[in-house]
Order: sequence, then structure tokens, then C-alpha cells
Amino acid sequence: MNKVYHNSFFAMGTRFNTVIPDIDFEHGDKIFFNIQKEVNRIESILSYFNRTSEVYKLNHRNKNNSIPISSELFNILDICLNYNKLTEGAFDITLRPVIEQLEESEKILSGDEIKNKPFSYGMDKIKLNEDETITFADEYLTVDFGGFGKGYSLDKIKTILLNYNVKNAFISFGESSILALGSQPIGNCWKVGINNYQSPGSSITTIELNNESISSSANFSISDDGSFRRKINVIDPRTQVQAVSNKSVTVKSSSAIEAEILSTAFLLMNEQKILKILDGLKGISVVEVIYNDEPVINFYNGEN
Amino acid sequence: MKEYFIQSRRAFLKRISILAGSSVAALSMPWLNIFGDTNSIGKTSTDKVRIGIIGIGDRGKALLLNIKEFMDILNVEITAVCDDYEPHLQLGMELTEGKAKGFNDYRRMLEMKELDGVIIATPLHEHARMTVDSLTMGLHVFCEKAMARNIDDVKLMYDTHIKSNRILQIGLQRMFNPVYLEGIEKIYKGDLGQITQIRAYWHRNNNWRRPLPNNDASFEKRVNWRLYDEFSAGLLTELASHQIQVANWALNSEPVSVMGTGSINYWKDGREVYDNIACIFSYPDGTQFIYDSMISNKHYGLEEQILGNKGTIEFEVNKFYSETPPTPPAILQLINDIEKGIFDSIPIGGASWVPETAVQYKGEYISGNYRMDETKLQLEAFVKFIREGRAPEMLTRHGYYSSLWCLLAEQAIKTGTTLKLPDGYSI
Repeated sequence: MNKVYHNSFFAMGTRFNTVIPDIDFEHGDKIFFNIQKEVNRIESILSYFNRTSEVYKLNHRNKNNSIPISSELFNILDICLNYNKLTEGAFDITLRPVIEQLEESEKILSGDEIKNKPFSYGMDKIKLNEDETITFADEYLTVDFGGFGKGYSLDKIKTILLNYNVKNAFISFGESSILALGSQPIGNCWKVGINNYQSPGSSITTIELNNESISSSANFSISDDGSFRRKINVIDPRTQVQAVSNKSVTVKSSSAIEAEILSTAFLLMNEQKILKILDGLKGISVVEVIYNDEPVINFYNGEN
Repeated sequence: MKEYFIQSRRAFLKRISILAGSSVAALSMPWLNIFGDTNSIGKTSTDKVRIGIIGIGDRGKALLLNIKEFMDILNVEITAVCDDYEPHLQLGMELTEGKAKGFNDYRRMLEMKELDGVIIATPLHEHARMTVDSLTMGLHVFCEKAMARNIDDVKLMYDTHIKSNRILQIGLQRMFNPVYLEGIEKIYKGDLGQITQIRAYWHRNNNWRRPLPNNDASFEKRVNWRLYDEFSAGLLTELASHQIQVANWALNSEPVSVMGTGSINYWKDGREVYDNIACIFSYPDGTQFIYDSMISNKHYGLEEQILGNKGTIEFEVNKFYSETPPTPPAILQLINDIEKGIFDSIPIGGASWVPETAVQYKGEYISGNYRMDETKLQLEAFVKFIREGRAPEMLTRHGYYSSLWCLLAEQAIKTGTTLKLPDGYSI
């Protein structure tokens, strides 16, 4: 029987699983401990809810101009602002107040209803200053890295694994964000099936990964009985309108951050806009599934 | 679908028989075997189990009503009731439809030849003499917790039980609660890893006083005996004794020392027992059991938390929390594939983006038998033990050590010292 190390822990509101083939338990444990430490460190910076996190303190600031932040958070905000521009505003880390208001309403709101609600959002209200401070244009603006932290963690974990000379590993963050380092020991890649929510337990398609990550986003969730349950926390920040059809998007990239950000943004984009963004990027594959009577699958690929 | 459900008695007994047959049952819950022993139910009048109940106050009444529920099924008879307070005695007679013979002196009741066992539900300071007298008369005894007001009486009760070769069961009903039984099985099977700490608390917000009949002040100490040092160790004997038993059970051990503190900081109404206490019990392996109790805030209620390096149990809410999350089926498949040299696709990708708060691990229910009546089960066991003529000694030992250590905790608080078990009290 081949050796395989497995361990897991809770982080960022979900479960984190590490699978490393062909490694001694003690060595695996040492690596896992460092991974866990790194994820916890990142969560202690990015958590929206932890009262001691840097982001919590930023969101509960007492001034809006020239707020000093750590270099790491400064760089993270820089990355987010760049992807906000790339996706023409579809990826937006300031949307949580909108989402919370929508969740309280417990129904799908019209664009006008959303527009009439009093909250502040929009990444154009964030300004990074040259002295590594940040300025918010609105005192109520908050940032939330729920759609970023897992991908960011996976890229950091990749560095840890490579530093330990690990060639093959499979890291799953809540099954929605996955890092596949190297390949399955007897294969040339890791084969990951994308779940078919209309046929629980079966895969709608298979994606092959080798030193790559995938991230999946959907605008719905599943009830315990397997049926769809609408989710209202994905809205288009440009139009304030929620997507109507049930849709999931899986993005494959060599960068876990990119996969995570684009899977969220592509949920709100049509084929034309997705292809336009992919044109400027390398090595990105997208699987879009629209659930009607039968699932409709669209594959989009960027430049190879 | 509900995450837990109330199991039928049949389903419960089936589960109990599985628990009783588990590899850890002999070590942790040998008394469960009695529920699988259907032969012990005699149907003839000569095989009837005849019970006398001493004390028909709130607790005694509850015990009496519980017995009535299974009297016919288990061929039990409440032969006598006893209380030195006339209204309570009358109540006991009424509740047995006049079939039980009434006594206002328990010694007269014990002289009855028609008794097999007695249930004692009187104030704490009366337990010892009633238990010792009953055992000496050859009767089996079910005595409410805690055992006695002082450690000498606790030891005397235990020694008399051994000498008389009669059952002495103490009313620590958590030992019959399906949630605790299944939780203890998890602990003994190693699901929590090494137990590294236990925490427990019991918080209420009331003055613990009961109204006096006709506002007659002469009844004060008789009715509110819990508030007076002569009769009660207060929170320790009334509440903590249950939770010390749970800690001892979880650790399969007894403390080696206790330290503590306490005061009357809120109910300054002439009472003599503490209205808040905090204690630390130390066990031989270095595990600490941290305990506190109070009656001026009920926000946190009661709980026993068993903390291990692999998981945590919170008994009162029927929850087990793993330190590591349940492994998703797809990851299990992946591990299996790698181990067996299979190269296949695993169905894993596709969950939606979730805000940080949406997925919080809320633990797993320990048992589905969430509302089984533990008090009834322990009385049912007592009846069956009487029919067998014996009960597992571990049952009595739990009563002994929980009673002893709550009284030692009281002394530790009063003297401000760390106390160990005095010589001669180890059993």
C-alpha cells in the first residue's frame, strides 16, 4: 500500500484538507503544521469578523485618510484593485454591506430596490498612497476578503510545499478552492471532477491539473436534500442586479489567487466579456455551467 | 430532517445493548447490562419488587411518579411511603391511590417485612442514618445524591453497603443518560484523544428559597435546609456532585487534590452556604477539572466540557466537536486511490463562494436519544438490580467518590487549603 499523508483543520469558515503522497508521517506533520500556521496567520490579517484582525480594525477605523496598514495588506489591496480594473468592477471587495442588506431582505431585489438602499461600496473609493497608507473616500466603506483569502493562502502554501521539496500534493480549501501540486503519484496530473448539482455524486466534467489551482463559485447553494437553494450574495456591483439563472463557474490557473478572483467575477459576465479578459491572460481555463432543465456547459480558454 | 430525533424505547434498548456489548462497556458502564436482561422481569406476585419511599418532597414525588410509569411492566409495587411532614405523607398516599402504607417515622417503615428496597429522597443530612439503617435491615437502597453531609458518614454508608451485601445506588442520573453513555463511549474509544482538561459549571439565577407553609418561620430550616451549613454544603452537594461524577467518569479516575474558594456575594439573606464557588480538582495524570457554580446569573446555564487533543464534548448540549473536520468523501476516495495505486478522477470541485460566516463547524450530536428520561432509567435499573440481588460496584463507587470530593471541596474552600483524600477513605 502506498504511503499518503492526510490532515485537516478548520479555517476561514470552512474545512481545509491536505493530502501529500509518498511522505513519512512525521515529515508530513511538520509541513502540515507550517501550513496551518500560515493559514491562521493570513486569517488573522484578513478576517472580517475577528476583532483582532487587521481588516477588522481597518473596517472599524476612526479616520479615513492616510490610514497606516501592513505591507502585506497593502500589497493584497493592490492586487485586488488591479483585478477590480481587469474585471471592469465585477470583482469587488467592498460589497459585503450590500450582501448583508440583501440577505436580511430574504428575497431577490430589483435593481431599483437595491439602488435605493443606503450603503456604501465601490473599490473606486479606495486609494493606496505612496507611503503605504490607505485612504477611504467614504467613512462607511468596508473591505471583505472572503472571495480572496483562500486563493491567497493556497499560493502561499505552494511556496511552503516547494520549500520542503514536496513534488506532489493536493490541497483542498472547502472543496471550492484547490491547489494541485505536481501530479497523482501514478498519473501525469490530478483529475478533478466538477460536481453536477442536478445529479449529486456525479461529475459534469473533469479537469486535469498539474501545478495548478482551481476555484469554483456559484450563485446558488444546495439544500440538504440536494435541491437548489437560491443564494443572493452574488450581485453585479456595476448594475446592482443579481444573476437570475443558476450558474457555477470554475476557473483553472497557475495562480490560486487569480482562479479565486476570476471565478467570482466570471459569474457576472457573459461569454463575450469572459473571452475578452481571457485574451489578456495566459493559461486560464474556464468551465461555466448553467443549470436549466439540463445543465449547459461552456468551456472558455485563454491563450496557451 | 431534524439533526436529532427522539428515539423510541425499543430503539433505545437496541442502542443500549450495542453500547453494553462495546469493548469499553465493562470499563465504563457495566450497569447497562441490566437493560438487556429480560429474564429479570418477574411476573408473579412472589416476584414483585416492593419499594418503600422515604421523603415525598419535590424529588421524592418525582421519583414516585417515575416508578408508577413502569410499575406494571416491571412488576413493581410502592408498598410504603414515609414522610414526617403530614401534607407530604398524605400526598404520597394519594399518589399511590392509598395502596401504599403510610409512615411518619422511617424506622417503623423499615420494620415492614414486605419491603425489598427503599428510595431515600430526604434532606442531605438525613441520608446517612436512613441508608445505614435500611442496609442493616437487609434492604437495598437507592439514595439521592449527595450521599451525606460529612465524609465520615459517606464512608459509613459505603462500609455498611459492603458489610450488608446490599445494593447502594446513588441518584446520579447522568450515568443513565443516553447522551452521556454514548459520549463516555466516545471518550473511552479515544475519539477525543487524551483528555487534557475538564471544565464544568452550573449557574442559576434564583435565591434557592422555598416558601414556608403558612409563612410559618418555624419551618425555615426544615424547608430551606439547603441554605444552612448544618444540613447542606449548598452548591457543592446539590449541583457539583453530579458534575464531579461526570469528570471522574470521563477520566476513569478520581481526583488527588482539590483547591477552591467561595463566598456569599449576592444573596446576603442570612443563609450560611456559599452562593458562588470556584474549585480546581487535580487528577493523577495531571489533568485539571475546573469548576464553578453560582446562583446570581443564569446566562451560561450548566455544562460539562471534556477537552481532549482530538476533540471536545459538551454533554449538556449533546455535542461532540472534532479538532479536525470530517473528511469529505472525495478526499477519502483520493487517499484510497493513492494507497491502492488507482489513478482516477475525484468529484470534488464546485462549491459556491461562501462568506466567512456561512460555514461554521457546529459540531456533531453525540446521541439521538436526546430526551430519554434518565431518572426513570436509573430507577428502572434499581428495580432490576434488586431482582438480581446485586448491582455493579462501579455504580456505588461513582456515588462514593463524587460525594466525597464535593465535601472535600467544601473543606478546601472553608480552610483555604489544598486538600488530598485523607487516609482510610480510598475504596
